[in-house]
Amino acid sequence: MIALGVVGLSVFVIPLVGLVGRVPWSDLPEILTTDLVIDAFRLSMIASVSATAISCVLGIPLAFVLARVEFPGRGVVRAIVLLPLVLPPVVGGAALLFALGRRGVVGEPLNSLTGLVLPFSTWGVIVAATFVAMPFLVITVEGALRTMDRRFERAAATLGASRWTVLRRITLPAIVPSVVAGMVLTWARAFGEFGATVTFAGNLQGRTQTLPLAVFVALESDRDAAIAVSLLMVVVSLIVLIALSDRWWGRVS
Amino acid sequence: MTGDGLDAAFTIRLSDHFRLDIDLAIPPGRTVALLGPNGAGKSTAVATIAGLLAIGSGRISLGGEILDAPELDVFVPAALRRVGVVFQDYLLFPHLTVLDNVAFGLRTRRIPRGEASALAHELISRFGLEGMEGAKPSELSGGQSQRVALARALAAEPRMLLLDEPLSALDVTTRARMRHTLADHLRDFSGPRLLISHDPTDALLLADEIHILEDGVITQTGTADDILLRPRTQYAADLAGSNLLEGMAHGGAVDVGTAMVHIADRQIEGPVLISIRAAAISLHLDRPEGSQRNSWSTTIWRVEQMGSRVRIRTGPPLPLTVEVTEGSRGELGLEPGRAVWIAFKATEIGVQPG
Repeated sequence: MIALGVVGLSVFVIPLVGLVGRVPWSDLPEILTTDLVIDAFRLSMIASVSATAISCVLGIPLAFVLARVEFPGRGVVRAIVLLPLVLPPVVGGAALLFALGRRGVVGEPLNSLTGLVLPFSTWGVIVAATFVAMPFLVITVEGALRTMDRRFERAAATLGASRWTVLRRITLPAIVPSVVAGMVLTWARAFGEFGATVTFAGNLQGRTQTLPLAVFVALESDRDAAIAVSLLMVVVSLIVLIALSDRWWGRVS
Repeated sequence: MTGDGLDAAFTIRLSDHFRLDIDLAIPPGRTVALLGPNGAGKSTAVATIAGLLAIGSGRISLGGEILDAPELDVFVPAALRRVGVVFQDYLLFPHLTVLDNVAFGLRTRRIPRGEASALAHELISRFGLEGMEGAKPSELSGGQSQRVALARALAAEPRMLLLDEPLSALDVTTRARMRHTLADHLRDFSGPRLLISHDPTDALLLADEIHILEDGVITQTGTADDILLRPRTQYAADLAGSNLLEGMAHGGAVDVGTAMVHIADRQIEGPVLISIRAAAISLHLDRPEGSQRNSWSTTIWRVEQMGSRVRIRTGPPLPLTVEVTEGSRGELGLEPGRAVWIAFKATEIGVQPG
């Protein structure tokens, strides 16, 4: 059991070792302070944090609907919500392009009404990241709502609590750990997003080129830069995952 | 009934096979117990009166106000009923402190935070929980949790109290102690009180009146004495430790089919229910002498140890449950298959019209 576990762990550790072994340590400060990297880092942060925020605002209510409202076709709706988890991101990006592109079914009226153009813009990066990452939040929060003991909500009602008070003082506090866990997963997925972004938003430095896209471009031209940026992503991701895992994931279980 | 009492006469169908029929009235200041086995519909009764479940037909009213009446299209939701509930597992909010749990029902009534805290503090010390204000429910013992649950329900100033198996989550020792504490606190509450229980001891000690609920139907209503001395169903007879028999009475004897049982009452005629307490029946190895009118020979079917008491089931002509001490079991060598004489006095038999 333990031996197999160690082998399993090595699946994750070996690539990491390979990467760290090739890091050009002496040139690292210089590479990481180029405009290209700074722009990509800033954009990745903006996109992943925005996607997480949007996922919370829209995903928590969606999780409530899926967990608490009975309606015909709920299984189909849930499947559609979870589709981005299994769909190749490139397909998702293409679908976004057809729907939200300048001449897409939603993109065209959106453009003529607001003048907003999503593809090949920073907004497009955020939309693509939200599309692939929000399912993590919905699935986590929906699970928490389904497994929570609803008798506490009934007890609160007998104490005179309105539906809003029950939601605010009983239901939401009960699912906070799951919301945070879902946010971490969502952020992590958005931070590493590549396929849908490059398809839907393109690869323009400063506007749509996030860190993963910068790595992909650099692999062709400047291998050291690719490794340096990869290391940057590994470090940032690890910091977030470690900082939050101790505080929150322990509480979820 | 009017005034501040509870009137509940309703029917609710939960499935094709289960229907709950309730008809009870509780005046203010009185405790009524709904006593019944698991699955009898007791928790459903709590949910309907608390407003967590709508009734199918009939009416529930409290203090003259109609809370639920489908025919009139009236349904007052739980949050507006002011029916205080102490739940079976207490359901203290796990993320709130004892103080915030107790203050919960005060805050929902828009009492300012400071005032709510002060009132909650007062209640907490009335329940002997000073110093526990900052504790989380997971840090409390069973008895403490029960008191917090009662304090939380009372803080919301309910018009009536529903207690759903308030003692069943406690261990035996705590249970006996909390039964008395609970009795004291119930006396202090002036509204109607409904106690749900499957434990006859709770019902007998805490309630002024007992309704026995079996399979969704109230099968007997009465005081503790009524239930113990004159049980009307097998369940009630089991609670009282009695044998319940149906028969036809005539001239001081009841024909129960396979035997004639002599009773003290010579006037009663026609169909009757008779109950014979298991502890009032004696077993002998030889034909007993003396004043016992009812006596016959039989064999022992089964022997069940119940703590220091032993329950013995006898065979034909009339299967009865007899309770003896462990001592006399050994003395008489009471084992399955053994031939014995059974005897009980006519005056020990409870008789009521069937």
